[in-house]
Order: sequence, then structure tokens, then C-alpha cells
Amino acid sequence: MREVVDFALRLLIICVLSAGSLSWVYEVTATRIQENQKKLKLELLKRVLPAAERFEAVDKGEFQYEVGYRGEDRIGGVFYGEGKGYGGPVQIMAGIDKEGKVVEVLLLSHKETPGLGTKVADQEFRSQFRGRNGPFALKKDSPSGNVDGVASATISSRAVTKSVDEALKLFEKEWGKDG
Amino acid sequence: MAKLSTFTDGLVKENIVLRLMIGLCPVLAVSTTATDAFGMGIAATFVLVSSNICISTVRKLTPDQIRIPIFIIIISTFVTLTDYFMNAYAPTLHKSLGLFIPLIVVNCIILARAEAFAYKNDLLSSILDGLGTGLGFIGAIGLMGLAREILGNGSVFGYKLTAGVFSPAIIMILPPGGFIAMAFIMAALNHFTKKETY
Repeated sequence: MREVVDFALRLLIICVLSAGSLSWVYEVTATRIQENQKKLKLELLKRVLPAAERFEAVDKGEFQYEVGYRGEDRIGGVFYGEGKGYGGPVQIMAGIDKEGKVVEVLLLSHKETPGLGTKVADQEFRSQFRGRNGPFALKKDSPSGNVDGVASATISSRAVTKSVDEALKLFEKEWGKDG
Repeated sequence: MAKLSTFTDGLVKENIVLRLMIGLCPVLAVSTTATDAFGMGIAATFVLVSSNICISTVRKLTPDQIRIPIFIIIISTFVTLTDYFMNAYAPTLHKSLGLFIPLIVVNCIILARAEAFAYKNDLLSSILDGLGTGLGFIGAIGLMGLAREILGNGSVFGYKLTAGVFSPAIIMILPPGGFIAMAFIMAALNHFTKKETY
């Protein structure tokens, strides 16, 4: 019995020390981590919608998006889409101007095969969406398709194309309503 | 003299990865680029040295029966600290290492050194052992990262090397490439260091 109490006390002391130092370091780093994340997010937003001066987040429960402002004008939005890639979900963000044309597409996260599927993150593939209206589909998938897939990475290309299309649909649904 | 050899043993003679072949999971998984590999090596070494220091300090207050939970608490504290600091001061590295930072907790290198060395030796030897083992780990994972990034992606620390002359062998940055690179590095090390004893 005595041994049990002794062990428990020793473990307790170690745990208290550990928790104490962790919470102290957390306090020190938390603001910086948050700033980093905000900065990173703003950088990404600026890349997909460079014309905007500031962004305002809109939360619709099921999905979120950002509205880009220049002065008081709403000049476009940043919408997110997700598709099923070869190695897991592929998440994209798309900047869309007020005419419904894609400004730029970026991949946020994906697990595609390095060297093959990852080519969908390259300029060459992404630039196909630039300055164009939807709907988007791979040329391989439908006669009205307008996007060239990356060779030996059809599934990855399809995932990105579909998610851009999804982002555009969200834009169309949202933009007319209150803008 | 005994002190010095606790440090140098970890470098080559008892290199944790290339000789003892433990802790291979992060070595194979995050050695696709040199930056990730060195980042992982440095993070693991920091955890290793700090936990060796703590465990060696409290070893006389640690009863045998509960040593493992105490080791784990100490190790996971340092891993979480590393995670916070890296997230705050090296966010890009933190993003690309991702899940492998928290997984340092279960890296057998660290628990092995705690159990086999720090728990039985004084503070200074434990620090030396941690540094030696850690540098050996950085060396091994760094070599892997350099080799795989050069051959598989044609770049070093993100700087392009190929200049369009040859196209890199993608397999080297895929999982099989990890095993191939490791086999070659191990074979080379054995060739250059082992005396003919068999």
C-alpha cells in the first residue's frame, strides 16, 4: 500500500512539472503560431485573388468562403473545393472574380504520388483554369470537356478539376444572393 | 577516455540507424528531401539530448517499476515542446514534417537510449551519449535525404541541380527508394569501416 502511494506521488510530481512547463511554452508560442497561420492564410488568399485589398470570411455552416474587397467594392471571392484523388482527398482553393471567372487555383493539401500526381499542383496544369468560366470537366471524361489531364495522373487531374468546378458552383450559388 | 568513447561510439561504430538499425520509420518516411531530413534529425536529437538529461537527473528518484511511464512523460513533454517551437519559429518545416514530429514520442531510439543508457549513467555521460547518438542519426537521415533528393528530384535543399540535363528517377522519392538508398549507404559504410573479421 505504501509503495502504491509512493509511486503515485512520484508520477504526480513528474506530471505536474511536465504540464507546468508545457503550459508555459504554450503561452509563449501560441500568439506567434496564430500570427503565422493568419499570415499564411492571407498570403494564400492574395495569391488566388491578387486584386483584393482585404478579405472577409463568410461562414455558412456547411461551407466557408472569403469575399475579396477593393475599397468598398466586392471584386471576387475565394472558394474551397475537395475531390477524391489517387492517394486521398485533394483540397483546393480558387479565387473567382465577380464575373465568375477563375483567377487562380491553388492546391491546399493532397497526398498524390510524387512526380506523377503532384504535377497537378504545377503551373502548367493549374493555368488551364485561369480566366475561364465553368463548368469544368476533363476532355477525357466528356465531349464538352475543356481541361487537359496530366499524363498518367488522370485521377489526380479529375479530382482537381471536379473540386474547381465545385468551388465555382458554390460561387454561383452565393454570389447572386447578396451581392 | 571512457567519456569520449560514449560520444564517438554513436557516430559510426554504433550508429543507431546504419549499424543498430533501429528507429528506421522516420528515416525512411521523412528523408525525401534534405531539408525535411535534417529538420527531423535536429528535432529528434534535441528531444534525445533533453530527455537523456532529465532521465539521468531523476534516475535515482525513479523506481524500477514505474520507470517506463516516467520516461514516456518526459519524452512526450520534450516532443510537444519541440512541436510548439517548430510551429512558432519554423512553420514551413513544421508543415512538411507534419505527423512525424508527434511520432518522435514513440521513436524507439529515444526510449532505447533512455532505458539502456541514461537510466544507468551520470549526467555528463548521458549528454555525451545523446549528442553522439543524435549526430549519428542526423548523419544517417541527412545522407538519405541528400541522396534521395538529388537522385529523385534533381535538387539539393530545394535548389534545382539538373539544369534539364537528366530527368530524376522518381522512384527514389517513393517509398522503395528509401530502402534502396538505405541499402547502398549501409553497404558503403560497411565497406569502408569494417575489418575483415569473417
